Amino acid sequence: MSQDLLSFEDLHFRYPGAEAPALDGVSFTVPVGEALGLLGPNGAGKTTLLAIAIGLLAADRGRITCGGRPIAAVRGLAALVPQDNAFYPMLTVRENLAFFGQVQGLGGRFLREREASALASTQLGDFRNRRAGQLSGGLKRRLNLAIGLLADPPILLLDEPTVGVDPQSRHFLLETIGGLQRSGRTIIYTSHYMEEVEALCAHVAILDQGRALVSGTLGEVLASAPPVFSMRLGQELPAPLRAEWAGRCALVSLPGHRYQLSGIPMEDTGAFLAGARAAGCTVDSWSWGQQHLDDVFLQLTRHTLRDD
Amino acid sequence: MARILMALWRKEWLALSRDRFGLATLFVMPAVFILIMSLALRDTLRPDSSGLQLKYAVVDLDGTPTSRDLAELLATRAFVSEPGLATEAGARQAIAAGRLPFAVLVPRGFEERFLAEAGAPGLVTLQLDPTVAAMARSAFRQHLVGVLGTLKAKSFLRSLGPGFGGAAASALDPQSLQATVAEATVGRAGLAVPPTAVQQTVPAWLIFGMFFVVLPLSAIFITERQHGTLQRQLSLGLGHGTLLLGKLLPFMAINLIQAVLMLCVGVWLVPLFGGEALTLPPALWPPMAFMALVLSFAAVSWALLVASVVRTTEQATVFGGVGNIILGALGGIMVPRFVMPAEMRALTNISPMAWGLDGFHAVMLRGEGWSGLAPFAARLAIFGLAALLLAAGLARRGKVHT
Repeated sequence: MSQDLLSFEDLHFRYPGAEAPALDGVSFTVPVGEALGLLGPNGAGKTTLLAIAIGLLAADRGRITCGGRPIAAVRGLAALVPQDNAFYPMLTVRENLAFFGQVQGLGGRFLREREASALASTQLGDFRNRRAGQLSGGLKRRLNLAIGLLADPPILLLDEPTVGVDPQSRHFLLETIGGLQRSGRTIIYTSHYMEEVEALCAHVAILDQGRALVSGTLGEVLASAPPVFSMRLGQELPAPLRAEWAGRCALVSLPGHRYQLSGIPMEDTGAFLAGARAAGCTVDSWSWGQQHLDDVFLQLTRHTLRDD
Repeated sequence: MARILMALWRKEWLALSRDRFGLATLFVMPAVFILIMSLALRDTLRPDSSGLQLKYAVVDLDGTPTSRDLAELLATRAFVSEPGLATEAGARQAIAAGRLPFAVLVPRGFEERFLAEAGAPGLVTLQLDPTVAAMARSAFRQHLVGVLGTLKAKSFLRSLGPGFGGAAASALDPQSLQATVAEATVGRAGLAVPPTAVQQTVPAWLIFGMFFVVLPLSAIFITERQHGTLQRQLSLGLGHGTLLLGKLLPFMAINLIQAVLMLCVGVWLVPLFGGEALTLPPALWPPMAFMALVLSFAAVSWALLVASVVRTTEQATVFGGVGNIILGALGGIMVPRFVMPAEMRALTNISPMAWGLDGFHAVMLRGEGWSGLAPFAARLAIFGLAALLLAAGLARRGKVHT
């Protein structure tokens, strides 16, 4: 089973009337039973990709398979936990679970067992008789997840499941999702919170403008960006030296006399530090190494605002 | 499939049962309309017209036997004389204050002019309240002209002498003349009944209320779209057809409960407030139930089409709510079609509410049964089917925001 792959193969999709494709040849894989963080700015194509995976949209070209089988064609293989709190606010927690279980064909004792399991996984048991519309933001997110767990799907597609919740609820949700992954489920997890993805996912794919910019294990993705040499100086770097450095590497000036230089081999760092000192600057701290995921993300998506 | 449909129906029941405004729209509003309109139109539509009583006064400035005869003959069950007004100014004052709709001013010299030239212009003057309905004004004017004619005939007969004309003249009073015309309601023997207010009102406002299913149904649709539950159900493998079917049947059931409750209002509640009771012979029950079923199919299908097109509650209110009011005005719900001009009456035929009303009237008033309602039921069924297919087509082609 662990050798099986969940494969997204050359996916193309264009909304009717749209100028640019929402997906333009997206391909990546994730081993079954592992979690993949799907990152991308707004409008990158993440939700479209999940909609195709669950069968809400049909790809113009390409396919999504698990062990060779198209996942949208196999009922109950995958469940989508959408970005919205997609349940009925006028129904109680239990009524919502019963409804969404029954429309998936569950019934009788099996449905009651699945309801109990979903309530236990999300710790919603104490709120089972409360109207969903009266739940707090964190509890609503938990109910949204619980509904996705009803049919016990091997693949979970989670679309920003922690949006708008307090840190405690986020921590609980991340723990729960981590537990689901450890119990063997394959998880595709979209989020704008990089630290969540780093904590939860062993695999990452970054989408932008309908293309997969990078994909692989977290280590591979982090290594895809050049290492960064960061230093914090006691004074502002003199302009002539800054111009000289900018001509040699990619230099980013940050507030507080902080400077980042990417593409510097580790053995050259001493020369830069010596140069700064020679220009009359004191070096408060420095580091060299791999970038964080949000640095890689911003670098790959070129720091520009996406308003769509 | 049965389990899925049962789940969808149960969910609709729960959702609607917790929507107080939706319930009020569906059940309280038409019940109140039926009660108010039945009581308001009680006298106007009473079969023997005995309830329609309009007051008038005669200001007799002539004081002759002929003018006194005129005053005496004017009084009928429908027109009641208000005594005690002796002057034109007093009558004007009473009309201006809204105490009287009409006053007949009989001037000095009336008898002399009447006997010499019955058709003389301005023989008497009819003073009237401008707010009185044209129909009532016309009825009283015709009555006055009729009484003057009777009076002329009497005076002619009296002139023939007591041996011949006196007896004939005494038979010439409006009450006796009323009895010379017998009424026969056209329709199936034994089942056709003269329409009372409640029999006119119940089907009309029942139809109106049934079409208002569009508001709660749209509200649920909009909630489902806004909360993403519609998309979630589609992602679970439910088809658009299943989702529409999941709404069609429970809302049809709600429509039928509405129909039964509204009929109960007509039968039991309206009489408690002094109105006439709705009479429903058991022979009419099956065709009426069928008519309600077909009407419900048309109303819910129309509601599904509107709900598939609108995207916000505001749009639902305009397209659904205001649209229903227009269909109701056009379909003879608010304004009876018999008072409309011919071209407007022709226009009413485009409103499905008019087809429903015609069908109910064919059963309830004309007692025509199945054959009478068939053409209207067929139109409603075709309309409902077309609306349902269009709603399904819109959903399938992704024109709705799912």
